[in-house]
Amino acid sequence: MKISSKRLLCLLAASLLLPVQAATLIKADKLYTSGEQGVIETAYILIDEGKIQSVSDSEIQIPAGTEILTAKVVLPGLIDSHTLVGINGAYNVSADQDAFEQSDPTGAEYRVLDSFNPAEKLIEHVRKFGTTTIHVTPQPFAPIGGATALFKTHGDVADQMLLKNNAAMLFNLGEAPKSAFRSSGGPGTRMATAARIRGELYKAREWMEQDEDKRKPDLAMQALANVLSGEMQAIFTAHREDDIGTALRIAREFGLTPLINYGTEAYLIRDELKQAGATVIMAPTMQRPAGMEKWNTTLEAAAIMDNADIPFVFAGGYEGYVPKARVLLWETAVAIANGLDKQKAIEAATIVPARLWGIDKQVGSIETGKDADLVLFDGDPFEYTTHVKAVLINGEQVH
Amino acid sequence: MNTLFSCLRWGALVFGLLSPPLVMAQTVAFTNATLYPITDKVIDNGTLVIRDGKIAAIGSASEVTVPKGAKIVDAKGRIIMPGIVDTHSHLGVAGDHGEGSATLNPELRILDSFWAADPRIKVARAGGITVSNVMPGSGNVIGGQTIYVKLRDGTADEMLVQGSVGGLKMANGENPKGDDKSPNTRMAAAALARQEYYDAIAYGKKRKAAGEDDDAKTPDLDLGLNTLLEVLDGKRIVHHHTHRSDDIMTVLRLQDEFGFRLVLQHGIESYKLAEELAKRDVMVSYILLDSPGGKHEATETRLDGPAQLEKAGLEIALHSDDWVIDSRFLLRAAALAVRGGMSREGALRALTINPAKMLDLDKQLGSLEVGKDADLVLFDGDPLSLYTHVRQTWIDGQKVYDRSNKEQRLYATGGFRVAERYPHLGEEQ
Repeated sequence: MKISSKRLLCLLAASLLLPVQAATLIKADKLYTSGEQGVIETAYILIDEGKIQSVSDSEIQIPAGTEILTAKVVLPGLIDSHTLVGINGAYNVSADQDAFEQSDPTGAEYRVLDSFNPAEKLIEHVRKFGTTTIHVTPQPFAPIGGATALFKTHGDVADQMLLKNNAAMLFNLGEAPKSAFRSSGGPGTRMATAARIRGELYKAREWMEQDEDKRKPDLAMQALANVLSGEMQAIFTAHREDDIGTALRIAREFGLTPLINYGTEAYLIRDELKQAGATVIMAPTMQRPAGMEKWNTTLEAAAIMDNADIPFVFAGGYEGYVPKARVLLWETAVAIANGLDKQKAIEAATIVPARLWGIDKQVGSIETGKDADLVLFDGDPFEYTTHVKAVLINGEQVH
Repeated sequence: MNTLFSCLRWGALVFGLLSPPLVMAQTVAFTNATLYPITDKVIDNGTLVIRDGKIAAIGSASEVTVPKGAKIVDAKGRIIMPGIVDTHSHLGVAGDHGEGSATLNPELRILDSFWAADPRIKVARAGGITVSNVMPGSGNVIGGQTIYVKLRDGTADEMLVQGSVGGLKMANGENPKGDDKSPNTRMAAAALARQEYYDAIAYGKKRKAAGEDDDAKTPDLDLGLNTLLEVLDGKRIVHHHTHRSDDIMTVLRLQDEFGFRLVLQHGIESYKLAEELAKRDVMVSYILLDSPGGKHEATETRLDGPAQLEKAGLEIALHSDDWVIDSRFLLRAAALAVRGGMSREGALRALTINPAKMLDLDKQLGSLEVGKDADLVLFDGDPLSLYTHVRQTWIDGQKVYDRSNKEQRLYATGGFRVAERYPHLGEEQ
């Protein structure tokens, strides 16, 4: 049979889109599902067509040709709730830095999707340590930083890796905005940073009230309108207790449910956070205490949040120098070593962020029907000397 | 040097006057301990006796008798290891370690920048560090003179390791390069260093020729070139910041030319030259980073870097470069080296006896041996485990950190600046 080159191309394209993949069975001595099945000793996870087909505590029938993987411990793929991996490159030269737009301190119209580089080597790096989903935020410098997005950590095309675009708007308070913009007409004080944010939100409120047919299309206003209407979440970077207080104040003024980014001193303002219904995107406790606002970082932060019943998720955060990224596995590990219950820690790196970002139908736990994003370990996942044996994303072994 | 020694003597005298002699003469016996001597086999159910700041006896319970009147510390089976020696640290000098006005600064003494009251020194003690090589930064071809300090309480001068000279910090690669100042290329950085050494040699010759008494012929005192003469005489070790394999080779080339004693500091790409470095028996103090990048020369970092160096036969050290790695996490770096394939024993040597050698202090520090300084770390588990905490740190026979003390514990967790408001979780003693 003669196949035309055009037809061959079509076939090739089809095979690229739908890779023929054998089913995989994972046998785990211990499985943390982060789902209703809880923790299973000796678990069997059947994966096919990129999805979890079944999770069982007893042996199951498997199709012929099924690939079998074994592991001491299996976790759901980890979700980093705040990282700049993909837009803040490892080389740290202007050619690979696309997180910080310095021309505009109030850049609500920016979308990290348009900066995201799937070939960035830090993506592969965090993936090797079990991070399968990243919530990528812009930089911590501009009072209004732009819109965030969630990606899987495997793929060649940003749009294909995308789980959710415009998930949240990033507002930044504290030291960074005033130091970054002081010499270029931006805010030079904390009160000016707050005023910029407040001013833009008021403008957006007015813009929303204008007749849709008559008002000028304005991407920044539209993005902030989406925040005000609740379509997009509002994240406030704040380390110091008073900056967290400012975030809560602004959120109250505009009826927003605040997500506190870093919250280095959140443990000093627990009652107020609880009252506001805030969630804390935890500071990477291994961050360098550069700047006074990070001085009071404590390794026990997550345990304290848990004790106070304040919801929290783990994150790698932003690094301006060596090393260029923090690894979620280690942030979770250090929290466990400093008083946080292990299972709660796992949840704060899997299902809790999946729910927070509205992607829990797809990821965040090992349950039938969800994406087959899993991490296989040859021992205690958090112990320093353990190894990641394999990482699966959409059923494909990517490490 | 005489001045330095007289300062030290004076410092010691004052210390002796101020502190009750009882403290210095105290004898402490750690019993029921799992002892990691580092230079010898692990001793289960061991006894370690310290007296006057030194190790007086070490062995199994049956071999060592607890002296009468000794204060007994029941280690309850816990592990005791020599204090961690950090070959590369910027404790106490943050903000005052990068002099930007010139790139050749051999006359600068980091001692003059050292803030002995820096609370991060207490943080480091909570991580088991007892001795640090505090250095100028890497933004200069020659950064200045380094100091070897004990992390004990006292003034900067009192903290100096008695009898130590310190090293000389040098750097190549990206950091000493400037866009708008010299050097702005690697070759210029090397040329500047080379010329400075030739200048020092010429200066030394002139001084020698002039003899002791001929003031007319003696060249003007040059503190910088004097320092380089100490380097050329082997009194002062060069601690050379260098990452990329080509930069490492440049350092070795300079060493071939001038014969100075050398510790390669950081050496992120040193694993690429493992065989060459082993052949030359170069001392490598490695930095094990959590992720690649932050700058070009740090992008090739590998978890198995230390393992590759070990495999080639090198005895390496691991350092913090505090605050690139927080001193509290230096032990963790050793654990990660093991994750990368290094032997447990090699990783523990990389925190103790090997760095002691790199500071010329191995006769005094780095292992649990009779006569050595009583610098100890007591753990509540395997030193390389995530779940282990440093319980106590001792320097010169004095306890300088105790996790069971609520206030001191905050130096391990963080939050010491807000101690009164810190929501203590409580913990086992």
